[in-house]
Amino acid sequence: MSNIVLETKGLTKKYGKATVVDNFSFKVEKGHICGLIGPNGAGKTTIMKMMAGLIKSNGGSLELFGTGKDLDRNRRRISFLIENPMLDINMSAYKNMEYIKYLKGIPTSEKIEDVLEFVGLLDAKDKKVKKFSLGMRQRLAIGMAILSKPEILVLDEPVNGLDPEGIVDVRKMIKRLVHEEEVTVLISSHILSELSELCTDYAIINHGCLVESITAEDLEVKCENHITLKTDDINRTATILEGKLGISKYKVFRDEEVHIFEKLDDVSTVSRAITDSGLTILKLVEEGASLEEYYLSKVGGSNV
Amino acid sequence: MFNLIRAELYRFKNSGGYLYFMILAAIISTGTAFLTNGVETSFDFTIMLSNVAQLSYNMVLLSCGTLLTIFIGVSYNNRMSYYEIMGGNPPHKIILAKTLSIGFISAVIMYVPTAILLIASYIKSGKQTIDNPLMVFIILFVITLHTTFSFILYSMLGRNLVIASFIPYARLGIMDLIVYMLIFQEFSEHADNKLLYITTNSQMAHLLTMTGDNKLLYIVLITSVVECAVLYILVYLVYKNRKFK
Repeated sequence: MSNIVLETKGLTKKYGKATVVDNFSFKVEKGHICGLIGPNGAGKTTIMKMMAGLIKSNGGSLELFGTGKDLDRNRRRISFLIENPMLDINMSAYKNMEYIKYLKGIPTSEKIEDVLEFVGLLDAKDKKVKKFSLGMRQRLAIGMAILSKPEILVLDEPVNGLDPEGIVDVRKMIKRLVHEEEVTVLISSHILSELSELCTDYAIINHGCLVESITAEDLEVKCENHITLKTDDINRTATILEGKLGISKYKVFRDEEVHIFEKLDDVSTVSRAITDSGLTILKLVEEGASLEEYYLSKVGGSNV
Repeated sequence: MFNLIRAELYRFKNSGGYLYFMILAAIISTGTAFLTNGVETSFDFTIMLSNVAQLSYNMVLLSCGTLLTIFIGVSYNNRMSYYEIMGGNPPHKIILAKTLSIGFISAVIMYVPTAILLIASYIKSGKQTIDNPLMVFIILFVITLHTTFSFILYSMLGRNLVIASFIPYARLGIMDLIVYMLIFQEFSEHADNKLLYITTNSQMAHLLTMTGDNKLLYIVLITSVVECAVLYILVYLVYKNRKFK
């Protein structure tokens, strides 16, 4: 049975002549935390709104839990937190939660207190939301999203405007949810360092198009500090690395270049061994990148 | 549907005191009508009542209606209404739940002052001046219900606080002061003197002196159903086409 719980196929959204989301296809597997990253106006929120049923796509399809049929029924198994927290500021935190309880038909009120404790708002449960700080509102919105025990949690910029402590709290909350409740999470954020601590997969989006879909493991390999070596014979190079230098931790990319993850402080030895074997070095450079650097190399800008 | 109705009523009761302000507006409206000095003869009482009742009726419709549309408008501005959509509820259930729950309760609250005044008028004047009291009672309730339903549907169509707050004034101006005025006048004793009585008498005055013709009730019902049906279709299309910010 397929493990894909959320999938878009060629999803497109146009506003007049402007194409905001262009042929966007990606998948999220059950139990994964997928980070949707892209610059402002890339189309992240629009994609999430289409998933939530707030706006209609102009093309392509959306599949929830392996089917594109009966989307509304399947949306009941998902919770969304899109853009700013959706809260009634004239009601208390508890009453906002109780509203969701009635709306989703949750039988008991006991869970409300548990969730309020989980998001750290139990002491402020009777306080009106208009007196809440942005961080408290964000936490309450997350609490409202998880009250119905969703199978998928779609979070759009959940740490927006939070202080460092709040960011750490939200990160811990999401991790706990994934581990304890086996929730699948799709999350977008501008704070890429935060995403790098959370996500198991990434979808990089720019100008409404999917630039790259990559797992955290592959990203780690790509971003890990390494020596990039390009020669005129890549197969012989691999043999030399293993035979002469005893290097086993390397990876050949596109039959063009080798990424060596050992002997990073001994580039000259590697270089000598290759040239002594009569090969010509076309490229020899030490590389490595953070998620930010990798992301910027993909979208080609600095507007994260 | 049951969940939607419960959630809507819960928020109507607990958010911003809209429900309590509405009840307060209804009480003030009733009080204002009764504080106005009555006159001795039953005929004068009815004339006085028709004008005061009209004032009171419009006052409660306007004040409560504004509170109602603002409540709906705010729920789009703070996007609380989006929970219903994101929760996978089909459009027809969302529209019906909102309209039937808070629409009906608001109509009852808004109708109380008018009902009290009509009963007072009947006790004071008897059959002398109100030809068909039950009919007046029913017609006015249908109109009140029609008003609250259409206020809600217009607000759902506007999906914005600013637009919502103008709706009662625009809608009352067109429907109650022109459309119903003309319809009522047609069925009143003043049908032959259209121009004069349209300009000098209130719709309530026409209604209180109307003949006991059931046709008026049918016309009012048809008018209400047509307006609400058209609005329902328009709101349904908005929800079906997912036009949300």
